[in-house]
Amino acid sequence: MSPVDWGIAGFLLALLIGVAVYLGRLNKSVADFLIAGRQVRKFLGMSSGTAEGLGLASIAATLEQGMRNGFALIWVSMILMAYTIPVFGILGFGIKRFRATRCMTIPEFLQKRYSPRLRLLAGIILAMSGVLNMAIFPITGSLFITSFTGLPEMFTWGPWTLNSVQVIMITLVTLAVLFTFLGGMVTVVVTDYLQATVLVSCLIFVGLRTFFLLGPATIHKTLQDNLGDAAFNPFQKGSYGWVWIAWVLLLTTFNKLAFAPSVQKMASADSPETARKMELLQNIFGMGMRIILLLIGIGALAALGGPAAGESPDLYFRFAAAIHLRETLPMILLGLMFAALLFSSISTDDSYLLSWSAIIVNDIIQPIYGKPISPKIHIRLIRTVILLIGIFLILFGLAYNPQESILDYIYLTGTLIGGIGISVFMGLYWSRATSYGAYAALLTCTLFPIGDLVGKQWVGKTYPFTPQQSGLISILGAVVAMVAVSLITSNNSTAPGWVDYGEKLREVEMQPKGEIS
Amino acid sequence: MSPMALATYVMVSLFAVSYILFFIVVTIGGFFDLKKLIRCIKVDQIDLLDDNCESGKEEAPPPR
Repeated sequence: MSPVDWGIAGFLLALLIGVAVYLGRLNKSVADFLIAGRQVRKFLGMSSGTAEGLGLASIAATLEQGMRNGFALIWVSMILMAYTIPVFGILGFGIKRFRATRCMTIPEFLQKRYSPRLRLLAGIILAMSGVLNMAIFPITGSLFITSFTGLPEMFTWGPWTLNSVQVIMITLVTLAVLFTFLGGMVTVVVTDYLQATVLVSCLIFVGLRTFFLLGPATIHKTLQDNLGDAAFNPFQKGSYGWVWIAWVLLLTTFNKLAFAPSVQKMASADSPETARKMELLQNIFGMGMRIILLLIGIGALAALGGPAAGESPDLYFRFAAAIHLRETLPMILLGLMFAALLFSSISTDDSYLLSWSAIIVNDIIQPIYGKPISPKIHIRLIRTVILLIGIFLILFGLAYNPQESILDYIYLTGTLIGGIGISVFMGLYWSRATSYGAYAALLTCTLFPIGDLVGKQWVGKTYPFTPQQSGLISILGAVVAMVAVSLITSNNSTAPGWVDYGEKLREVEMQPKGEIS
Repeated sequence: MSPMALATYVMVSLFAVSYILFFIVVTIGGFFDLKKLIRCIKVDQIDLLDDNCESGKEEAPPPR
């Protein structure tokens, strides 16, 4: 990369830090810090949600999918959209009712609906899986950026010899901590919007450039020669397969109301209707982004081909697209793309840092402490936890040597919280859902993935299930456990803590616009 | 070209074009939302009880 490209990226980053410092002054309360005072409207929330969902690890994983499976992932997204758009985007199933509860976090809802102890358990599971889930992001992101910039493995700075990957990783974590630390959700939402604008513009431009440079005929020939029909059909042998698709569909559905960063964005919406619209727009927007990224990945496949004989396919596909972009993008565009990649890492990490720190303080520390905390101390405590998570991320990245697929890691930690999503959906819609049922769902979803992980360490390749099968069994098992245990423990009556959330939502929607909170 | 490949290309083209138009609308809309957010945060009243901690306690059902 030329000095001009480094200068462009540095200038944009400095501009963003300036905005973050200015916005940090606007926070006056815990609600401002955690959910931007519930004042986020649909376009801003959607842009911010896009930036949060489009982290550097997701970009690297989707580019990798383009090289490995062509456009097949699009059909998985289509199947997902065929029911998420009507159910969540149009009807607002679960989303509108949750927003009407005015809860800021999922465990807070679980306390209201089930029991304070469940809040504590859910808080521990969410924090554990969430921090472990994001722990892989800085290290994979810095590996991708090192490939993209072409930095040498080691470089000297004054008297020190430094490792490029580690320096980039520490910089990424420090920036994310700084953004979250300064202004909480207000800073996160606004800077995410700015980051999404730069990131998506760059990706669209690079995607169009790839398309026009290659042309449709070359794209088709590349896919046919390298992947055959599996490039267009996710059910084809060599592609994803139905077990993987079923697992991802169920996981995406139940995690809709379990994955804390997304739920926190939902809680920051200015009304239940805005939360529904944000969900609808994000679904459509995410599909477009996926297409652009897959196209760039296919462009890399056309230029570089598959891995050489003896080369590890996992390592090759993980970084080939980054190397391809570095070698083909012209000056200035390379600098803008570098800034966009940095932004994608920061925007995801800062949202996650805020969510997991809020959960640790509000749903673990505060219930154990048991006394009210003043807003000033409350925000200070959240900031301390943000800092501690940042230190953990750096230590994890320094010690971690990535062996497995990024997607497998992300989905495995994602399955751990599936039981929480099931408890929330059932709690919102089923009067007989009990706390015992919720405990059963939470534990089923936690034990199966851990069993998978430990079992494989114990018996190695003879373990009878693949991660996809274990994930699918976990989620289906948790639904069955929730229903069965609730039916047994509810004694044919409405469970304590049940509120008709449909009625509550209608009350909220009756309020004049501008008065909804 | 197989029917599946043809269907994929049709969908890719439709989504890619609508995505670009959609992105422009969202970026402009987001800018106005952003201005409104900053204005609202500056003038909003502070509710000290709205802190994600106290609200749940009173409404929590007895543990089963």
